[in-house]
Amino acid sequence: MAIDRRPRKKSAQVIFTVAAAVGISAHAQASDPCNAATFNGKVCQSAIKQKGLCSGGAWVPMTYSEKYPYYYDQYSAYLLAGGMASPVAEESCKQPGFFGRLAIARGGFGTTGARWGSGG
Amino acid sequence: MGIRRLAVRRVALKPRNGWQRKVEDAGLLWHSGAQPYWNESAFYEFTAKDVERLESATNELARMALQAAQHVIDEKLYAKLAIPESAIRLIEQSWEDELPSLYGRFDFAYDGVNPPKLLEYNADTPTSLLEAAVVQWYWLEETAPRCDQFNSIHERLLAQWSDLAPQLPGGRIDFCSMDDLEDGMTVTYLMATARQAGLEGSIFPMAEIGWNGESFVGPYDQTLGAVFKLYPWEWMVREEFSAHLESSKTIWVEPAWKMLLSNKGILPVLWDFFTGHPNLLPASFDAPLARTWVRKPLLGREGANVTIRSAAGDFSTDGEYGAEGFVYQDVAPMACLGDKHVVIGSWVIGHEDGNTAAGLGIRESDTPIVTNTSQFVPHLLN
Repeated sequence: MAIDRRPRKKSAQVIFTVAAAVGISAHAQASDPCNAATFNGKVCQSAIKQKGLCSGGAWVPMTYSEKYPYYYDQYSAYLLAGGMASPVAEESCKQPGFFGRLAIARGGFGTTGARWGSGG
Repeated sequence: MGIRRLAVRRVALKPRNGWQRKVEDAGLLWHSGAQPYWNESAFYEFTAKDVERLESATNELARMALQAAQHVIDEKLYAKLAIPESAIRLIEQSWEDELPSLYGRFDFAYDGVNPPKLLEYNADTPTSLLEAAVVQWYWLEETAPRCDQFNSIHERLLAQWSDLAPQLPGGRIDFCSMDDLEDGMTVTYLMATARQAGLEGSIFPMAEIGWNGESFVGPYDQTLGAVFKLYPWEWMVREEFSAHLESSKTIWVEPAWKMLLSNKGILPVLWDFFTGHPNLLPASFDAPLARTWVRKPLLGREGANVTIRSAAGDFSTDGEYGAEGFVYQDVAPMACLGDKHVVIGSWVIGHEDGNTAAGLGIRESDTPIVTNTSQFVPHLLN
């Protein structure tokens, strides 16, 4: 029995090119949901994906250099070291149109397994 | 008075000529590493009584596991199992919706004398399926055609896919795994069974799943109605796309509620709920219950980061698991045949009450902990 694999498509992880060009310096006051001390997993993942978050009722563009597992690991290490976390609250607001969806994102599953086998 | 059998028998046997080619023809391409993974230089011989005990234990534990899952949900024991808050609604919704389950594998210690003892339940991403369902069956047909084998795994998979078909949008299910040979073979075999049952589907790596803002999509941007994923839920819920799991309509097989059962934390939950059950070992979250014990990571896989404390001292395996915590389990009366330690994988297909046990696969190891390098050895009934 041969493996029935389709040709792999090139990953299309890089999206939101318009948003990526927007800096974050003007919004440095927003609490970072991916920071270990203010970590909120759901908001962090959304912020990485959407390249921004809602803070104080307004949309704040953010950029992240790492994928979500990196920030989760940082958070776990922080807790193991005895750190106390005060998670950022989840907020909703209207996202400016040009931050909206432009393409299909890929690579959002499989990052953990790239390090370890998944069978049991 | 007859002679009492003291243990399952391990019988040495000359491997078939050209066995490598034969198991490859059956689909097992990863049969050899540093030592053969598929080992037909021996087989395990069971009696009908052995099989009855294993089948009965499997059916009963399948029922008990569902009760334990309900207990975890009712009592909100998620933190005990290191399940993130973001996954709770996903689990509960999948449980309430009775989303379909295909299979699982209980791992037992069994010596032919004592009742089978549950070591763990691989409820989410069990592997060694092809060798249990197909390869050892072909071995039996050629090597001992007059004997039998506890193995209806293939037929039960076909039947289960047929049962699941009405729940799968468009009669289709796609298959995803990590892009490696072992996992790829498992999903390839499962896709073959689904196709035999009349379903459509394709295979692609987990990393090629996409999100278009509304739906999960496949490599060609097609909406994914149903996906069999050989990829642990505990990883999925910690990865970037987990943010879309609740809003998406994709049906995942195995369903999210299997996260409760594949977690080693289910072992102390089962023990608390069914204390003294003959197929369970005493287990606890916090501290050993006996002087000799086994410590397992809550989210461990393939025997990694396990420690056994026995009278002879400690024995441990390496790995990268354990950050989420551990459980303790009493040491089981393992079958040690010669210098081999034996774990019996008992497959469950579907969850029809009292009728889930589908067959056996045997793994043996030179060390007390069966890992991903342990060998698969065929079995027969005599």
